[in-house]
Amino acid sequence: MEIPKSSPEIFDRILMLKKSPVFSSVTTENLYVVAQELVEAHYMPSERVFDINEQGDHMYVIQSGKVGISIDSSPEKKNYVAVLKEGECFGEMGMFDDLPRSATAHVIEESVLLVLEKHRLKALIIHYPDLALGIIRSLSLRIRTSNESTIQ
Amino acid sequence: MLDRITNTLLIQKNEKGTVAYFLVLFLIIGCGMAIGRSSADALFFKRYGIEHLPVMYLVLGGVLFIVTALYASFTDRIASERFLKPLIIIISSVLIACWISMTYFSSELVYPVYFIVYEVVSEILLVHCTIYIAQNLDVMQAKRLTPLVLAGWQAGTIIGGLLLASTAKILGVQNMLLIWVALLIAASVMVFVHHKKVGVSVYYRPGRKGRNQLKYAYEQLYQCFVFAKHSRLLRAMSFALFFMVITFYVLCYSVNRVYTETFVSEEELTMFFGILGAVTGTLGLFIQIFLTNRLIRRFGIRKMNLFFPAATLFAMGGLFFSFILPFAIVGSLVKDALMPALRNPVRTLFFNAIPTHMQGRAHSFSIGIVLPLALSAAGAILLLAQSVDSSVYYIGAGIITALVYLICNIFVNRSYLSAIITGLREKLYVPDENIALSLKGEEGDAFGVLAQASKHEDEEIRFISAKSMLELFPTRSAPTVIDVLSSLTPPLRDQLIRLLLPMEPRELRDKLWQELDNGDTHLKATVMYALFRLRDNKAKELAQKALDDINPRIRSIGIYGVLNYPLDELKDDAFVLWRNMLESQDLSNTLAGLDLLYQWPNADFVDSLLNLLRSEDRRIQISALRVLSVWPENYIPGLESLLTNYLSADDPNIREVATNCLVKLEDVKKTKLAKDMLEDIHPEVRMAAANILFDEGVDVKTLAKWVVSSNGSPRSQEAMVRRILSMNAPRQVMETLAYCFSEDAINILDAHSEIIKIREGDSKVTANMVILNYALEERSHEIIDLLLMAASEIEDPFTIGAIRAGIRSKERQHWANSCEAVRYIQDKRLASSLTIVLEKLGEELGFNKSVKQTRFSGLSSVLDWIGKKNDPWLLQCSLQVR
Repeated sequence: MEIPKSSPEIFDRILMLKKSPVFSSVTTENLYVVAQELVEAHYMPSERVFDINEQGDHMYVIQSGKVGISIDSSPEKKNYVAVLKEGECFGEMGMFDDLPRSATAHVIEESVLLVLEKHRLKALIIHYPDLALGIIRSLSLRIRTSNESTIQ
Repeated sequence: MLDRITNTLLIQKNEKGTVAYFLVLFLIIGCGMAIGRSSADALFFKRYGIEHLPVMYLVLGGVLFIVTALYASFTDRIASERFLKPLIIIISSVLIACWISMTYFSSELVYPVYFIVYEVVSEILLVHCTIYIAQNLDVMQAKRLTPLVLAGWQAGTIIGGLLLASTAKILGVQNMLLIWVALLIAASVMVFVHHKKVGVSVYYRPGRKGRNQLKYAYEQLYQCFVFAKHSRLLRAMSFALFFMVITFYVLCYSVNRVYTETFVSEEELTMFFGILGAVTGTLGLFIQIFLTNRLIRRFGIRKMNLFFPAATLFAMGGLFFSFILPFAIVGSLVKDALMPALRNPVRTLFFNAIPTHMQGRAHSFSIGIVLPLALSAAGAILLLAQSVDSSVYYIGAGIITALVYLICNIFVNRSYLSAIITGLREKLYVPDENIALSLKGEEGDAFGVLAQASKHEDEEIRFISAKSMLELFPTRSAPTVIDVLSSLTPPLRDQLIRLLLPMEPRELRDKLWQELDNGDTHLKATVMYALFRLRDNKAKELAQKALDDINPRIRSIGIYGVLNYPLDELKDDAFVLWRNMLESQDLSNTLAGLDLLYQWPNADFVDSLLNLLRSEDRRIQISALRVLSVWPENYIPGLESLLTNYLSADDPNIREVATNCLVKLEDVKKTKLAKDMLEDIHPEVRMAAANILFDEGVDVKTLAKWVVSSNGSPRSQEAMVRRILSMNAPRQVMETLAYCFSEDAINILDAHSEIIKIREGDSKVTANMVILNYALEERSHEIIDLLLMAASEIEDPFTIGAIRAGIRSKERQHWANSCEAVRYIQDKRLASSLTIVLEKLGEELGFNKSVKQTRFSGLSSVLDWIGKKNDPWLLQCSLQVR
């Protein structure tokens, strides 16, 4: 794990964050700070980022690759309810409700994930309330999508 | 050629299809209505008798009331296009029944029935079509396109008139009904096909479903009646409509009497009506296409709202002096050409200022309550006038009602702006920041309400009420607030005592003694502090006891007591104790000692302070920096490097208190570091920097000039503007700032447009370019916020707040309402700048597709411009792009 210091990489990260639903309402200027807090992690196919019922202290943004989300009680089973791609986030729920992970994250393709620690995110939210608005927006959209699929 | 026509008619590129659809649809409906109208009038006047017309108006009043109730029960619950279909089917069925009755049963009663049917249909269809327009166009679009779209109706009227004049003799007047039915069905098919393609009307919001229809219809009318009590605009519009309808029907009756006396046979009268309809329709169409739009834009809808009443007054005056054909034709031109070409589009625009969910109900209220009442009044006036057999009486009454109509329209104009602002506030929820201010104006009531609320069962409400009373009525509220104290929990009691203390109310001392042992240690310390600060004689002995207390906070309060009375005999002990606390390894002891040092700075403890400033503990760092900001001496060794370190801390609280300490540095250093901190990411730090840069002694005009010339980022400028506001800046200063920010906003919006153009033309756009695009977009919103912040100091803050909310919504309808509200800002220069800003913002959001002309020519000119600004983030983005 390493934090890139050079600005071009940071700018790529800002752009990715800006396109993700969780951070889209945060200004680029504030995202510059968020981008510096992200830590890069490499994962190979068939690896698991985290398992269901595990305690989670990190959220992830996919820089490249694909991650499948399975809610099967057995972490080995790959019954994906969602396949996430570049720019999408996962693991943010555990950052707020302090409950164990509600799903398992399987790496489908070789992936580079940007990891944000729980206490760093909390500190960032205190300093940048817009960030919290972005996350609320994202969670609200997910509830809406879930409601719609339930109705269908 | 087509582009030239669309440009002349103010149609934007993406609107061509919509305009064509509405034009053709309204042309078909208008053609049918012209046929219906001329045939209904001619058949009624010649086969039944014009002398029955006043009675028909009375009957029409009742019929309209019932039909409107039914209409109101559906209008807000179904999208207007869906409602149009059953409406047309019902009308067509009734018309066919009338035709069968005329053709096969020769009943005389069918003619008044057909007359009533036409009158009801003409009212309902016109109202429904205006709702249909409102549900498909936003305010700005409606303003440009409604006259044009209604011109389709007028074109239809001309065609219908010519058709009638040429075919009435051949086909027979009564058979024209079938042509009307055919046209209505064609319109219905068109609506069906169009909405199958585009979906439900964009601005339609459904009402509630699943209730008793008729009861609900009356409830809707009742709700509108209640709404009218609060809405000055709807009230004024209803009164205007009432008198307009009376005037209109008196005018109709007058001109028709002249026509019936002039043209003897049914065919001649029908042909004349056909030709008259074509002429008035052509004139109306000409006005609508070439004049209405431009007149509204040139003079505004408020001036145009007075034109039709004035013209009606003129026509009535003409008939009053000479009851002959030429003046009757002038009357017809006013009611049949000017009314649809000028009065109806203007009224539609006024309706757009009423909240969307009330528009349908308001229309129903107009035709269900106001129109029947006005019709009955017109019928009664004409019946009375018929008894004396002289035109002078009813025309005289018409002149009076026309005059009242004109006055009512003046009131409509006055209510328009406030209706737009209220609408925006309700739609977007603008918090009422000035509630305290408005309460202050109503002192007697407000104090009573707050005093009552301070006895509420909910503790939070009791506390907030007491706090508000102290804020608004500091001199008279203390006894009431002191009574509230006992009913609160210790933390809230603590807060209230601190708020009461600066006022030193007489009743407080007794209360403090009651509270001394009536809570936790924290409250006890606050009570002791208050007693010592008030130098209560009885409390002196408490100071000595406090020095021996095990709680560090109480000990530090004890030291404060010794210093404040002063108690010389205890001073030495107190100082030793204080030093021990500052040098203690125990955090609570150190913090208590530092709190006291903040209240009572003492240069003897400089070494202890310097040690604590180098502490690793965040809480100690913050407390020590607070002490440093009020330290009596300016020379402190190593201060600059110490502060420089703290200014770059992660914790914004540390940066904020460190910024406050910059006063201890020499001017050059202080200014340089404070300017840097003005660009901090945290607002409190920026505010602290602004306070440091401009202390109380600085001239506010100098400060404003500094802001204008600083060319910094919007957030640094915001901190400085807040500082200026805290100094009660005069209006002139805020005007200067607002003009400066509007200029800056136009530049940023232009730069953003330029970047968008470059991005659109380049398939390989880098991440840096995209981020520059985002950054400029964000900056444009920030500078507009700043502009509105300055504007709210020189204009009505509620209006500005509502405009801000409209802009933030990023919704076309609300943005359009904001644009409309800006036109009514008193300061013309500011209004014109804001209009430009909003138009450019509209372009950016894709609401306004006019030609994008910017002040920049290519990427390098944008980057050069950014290079001249002192905006660190924009500079960084532009460097990446370079």
